[in-house]
Amino acid sequence: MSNNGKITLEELQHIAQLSRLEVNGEEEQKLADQLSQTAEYIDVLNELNTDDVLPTAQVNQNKSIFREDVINPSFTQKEALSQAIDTYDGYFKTKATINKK
Amino acid sequence: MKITPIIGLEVHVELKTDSKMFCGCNAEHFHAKPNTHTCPVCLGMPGALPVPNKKACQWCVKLGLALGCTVNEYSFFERKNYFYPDLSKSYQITQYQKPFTVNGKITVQGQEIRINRAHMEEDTGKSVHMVINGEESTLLDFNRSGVPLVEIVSEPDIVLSIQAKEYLLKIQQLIRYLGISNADIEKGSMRCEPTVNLKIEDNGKTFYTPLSEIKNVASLTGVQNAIDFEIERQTQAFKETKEVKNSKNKTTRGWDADKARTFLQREKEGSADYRYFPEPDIPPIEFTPAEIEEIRMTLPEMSEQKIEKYQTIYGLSDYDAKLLAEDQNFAAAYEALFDTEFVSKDQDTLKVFAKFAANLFLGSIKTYLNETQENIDSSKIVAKYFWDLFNSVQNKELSSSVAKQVTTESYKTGKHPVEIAKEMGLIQVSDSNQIEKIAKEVVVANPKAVQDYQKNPMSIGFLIGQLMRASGGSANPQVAKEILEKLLKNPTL
Repeated sequence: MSNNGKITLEELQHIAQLSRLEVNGEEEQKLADQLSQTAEYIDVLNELNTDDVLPTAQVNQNKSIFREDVINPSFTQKEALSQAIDTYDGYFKTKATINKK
Repeated sequence: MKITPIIGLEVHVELKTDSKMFCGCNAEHFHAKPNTHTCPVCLGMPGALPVPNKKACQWCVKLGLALGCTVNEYSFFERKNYFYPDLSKSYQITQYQKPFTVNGKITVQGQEIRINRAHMEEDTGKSVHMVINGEESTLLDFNRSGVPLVEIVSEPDIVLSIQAKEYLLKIQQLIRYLGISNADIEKGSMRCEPTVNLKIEDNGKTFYTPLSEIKNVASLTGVQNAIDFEIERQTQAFKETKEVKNSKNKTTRGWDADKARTFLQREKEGSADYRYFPEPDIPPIEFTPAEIEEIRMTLPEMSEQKIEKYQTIYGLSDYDAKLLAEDQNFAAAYEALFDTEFVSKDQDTLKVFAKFAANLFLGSIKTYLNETQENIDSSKIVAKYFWDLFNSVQNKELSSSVAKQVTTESYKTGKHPVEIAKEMGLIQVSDSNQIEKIAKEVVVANPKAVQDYQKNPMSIGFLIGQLMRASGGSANPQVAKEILEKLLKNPTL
């Protein structure tokens, strides 16, 4: 992140790429400004002294919740594939992911 | 220009639990019909709740302990975010800031390799690439999605491709000793991704080439070849471009075993791009010191400890000890020979027996197992047979070479080896009266050979051969030689 919570166009494009979002030219500047404003709120929070505060990832007090190593019934193949956009011979099908050159 | 390879290895091991890591689907995926072991959790459906498999977590800790790691008493899972079709949730549940175990080390051929961490995560689905109706496609099977996976990350302490191979063999042996995975590289239950770059020293300046992580290596030889190829490729690339490593130019390269080369797969995302954050659906995990000790107590005697025991107590050579300890079941079958009422109380005899039995195990049984591609069947190893055979050889009834021969036969048929030797007429006659009688006949029947012997004592071999033939091969050759020499030096006898 850049200084003062300012999101550059380059950073915006990078975030869009990671999120697999298409952002066109006009939207780019608008989104960068909006995200910058959001990030500025983080700067406000940064003014607080949090040296003695542990990071919170969970709000309940649970810990060490396990399940035993036991097999439960699975979906049938038909059920598993029922929400797929495209299938082939029992598999989910998608565009090629590897380009061997 | 001085070039030093810097090699680190990431090893992924699929644990052989019954069920998957975060759901109750069957974890067996090899040769299963595609997409028949799936549920909302491992298909990444919204609202599904993952719950960690207790046995998998304990096994990960056990493996970490065997690698000399420290166990974090407080740890948690995190989400590693990236898009790829084989990753159903668009994030992998893994460990990042607080893995189960950290900071271990193992010794490989005398050199220490540091282990950064052994942490718990889940496997992805399996992709099959093929052309369908003229279109390049990727097919996905999620049976493997969510299978428990331990990732072992080494520090970049490896400098040779052969060392990488030895390191993997060591890790594989250790995992098999623990019985937590088949660690089969060809079948994919153990996978290895080397990360390679070079330190280049030229005219007093030091350069580091960009890191390459190599994927799709499916054999031990492949690992070695891929690393060697990458060292050569990076050397050439550096000469041409002078590009050095930075935080943005790490790449992922695939290994093409047919063409024996690596190819660029994708520009690697930097770790910040994975946007790791603590998995909100899984509470943190705590191991108390008592729980860690309890897991430590379940560690079996490891190969190093066996090798030391074989050398100090049984007096075996380093070479024999290592070969015996290579496979845990093989070693256990050997050790069972000493856990019997027949065992000698005399330390010296015990050592002679240990060496004798080691020769049979390595010379006969291992050779047979290698030929037949079988694993040892410990029910076929009978301690009494080995001690009887040992006593027969000590009494010179059997030669060591016959002992080797009948051991293989006994392992195959379950028959007593000494009985087999008797049936095959391989019992040696060491009774000197009996041999002397034959020797006298041989001397009378071969006057020319006797004359030859008086001129050249080396020619006694012919007469020994005649004696052996006359005895039907049963005479003890050493005793036969002594008696013949005695007779020939004193023709009056």
